[in-house]
Amino acid sequence: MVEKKQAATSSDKRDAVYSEAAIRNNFGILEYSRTCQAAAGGIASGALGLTGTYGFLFYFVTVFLQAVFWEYKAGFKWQDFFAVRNLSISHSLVGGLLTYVLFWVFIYGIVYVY
Amino acid sequence: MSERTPNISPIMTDLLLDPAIRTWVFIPIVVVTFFAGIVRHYVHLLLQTKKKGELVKLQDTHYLAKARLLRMNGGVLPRADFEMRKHFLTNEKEGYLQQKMQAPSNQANMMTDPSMMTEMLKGNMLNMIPMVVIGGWINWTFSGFVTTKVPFPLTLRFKPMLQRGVNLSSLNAAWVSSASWYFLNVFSLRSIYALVLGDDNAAGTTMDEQLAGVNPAVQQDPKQVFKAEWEALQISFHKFKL
Repeated sequence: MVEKKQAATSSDKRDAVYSEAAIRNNFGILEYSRTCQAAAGGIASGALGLTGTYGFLFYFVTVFLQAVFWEYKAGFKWQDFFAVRNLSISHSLVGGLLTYVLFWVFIYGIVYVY
Repeated sequence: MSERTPNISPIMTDLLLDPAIRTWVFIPIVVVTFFAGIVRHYVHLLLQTKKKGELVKLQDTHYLAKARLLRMNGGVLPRADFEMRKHFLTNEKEGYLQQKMQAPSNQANMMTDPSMMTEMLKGNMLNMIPMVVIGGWINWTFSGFVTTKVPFPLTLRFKPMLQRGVNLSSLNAAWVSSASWYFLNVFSLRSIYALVLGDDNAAGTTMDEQLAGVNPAVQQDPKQVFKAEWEALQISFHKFKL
């Protein structure tokens, strides 16, 4: 996986300058791993036969797990890589949810309905 | 395609669907949607008109980049050099950024700009038409039976929408028809396109995203960008790192 690029260089302690290319690269990484997490979560959820609320709860569990992984990858210094603090949880939440539901329905259909 | 009515069996499924549906409907819809998106992306690439860049615009971009780099890496220049470059860009009378800021705004009406209109129209058409065509075909071919069961409970209000061809009043709303499965695919495969085709793929954008992205960005862009860059340079001060 591509390493997150250090985006912020602070010439003084007051304001940090974020590098465009690095920010874009980091967002690409977030998007990529969010899609993978949603897909894997959906497949797991479908195979396990989770229905209804449990299914959605599982999605948010995977979101939280993914946030933990991202924070770890960023060395727990999120501000060095991203301008917005809550991105680790909220990045592309709905997009991921859609992908999760797709894989969930698909695998649930394959395993349990047929 | 046989469907047995539910009885008092303890297994999870209440309807038993013919495995032929799985092979010939369920999976083909996913495959067709996915490849239609990929084809759409490549057609978009093929039909793109080559944009002839104007020299002035290119020059502007380069100067902007130079200003940005100056801000970021000014610490390695000696103070005099830094001030000289800053002066060139931001001076009241002859600074490059100042001149560009005062330049009359000729971005009067971007909507009537012909080249951009055709670009937008092409993009819209390219996205809408296949979706409508494939949706119609699926609705026509695979009608009259349920395709799959969604794992979450849905209220009865969704039934006429999701179970287009099936007229069983007692059927659980979780059983959906192929058309709704197709739409779920269309909306959810967008993030997968980003994975497969790289970041800026033509298969992923919808009409309103295109509209919103093109319009405000271009209209205010040049003057605002210069102004922002000018302000940023004004407030940056030189700290010698070497």
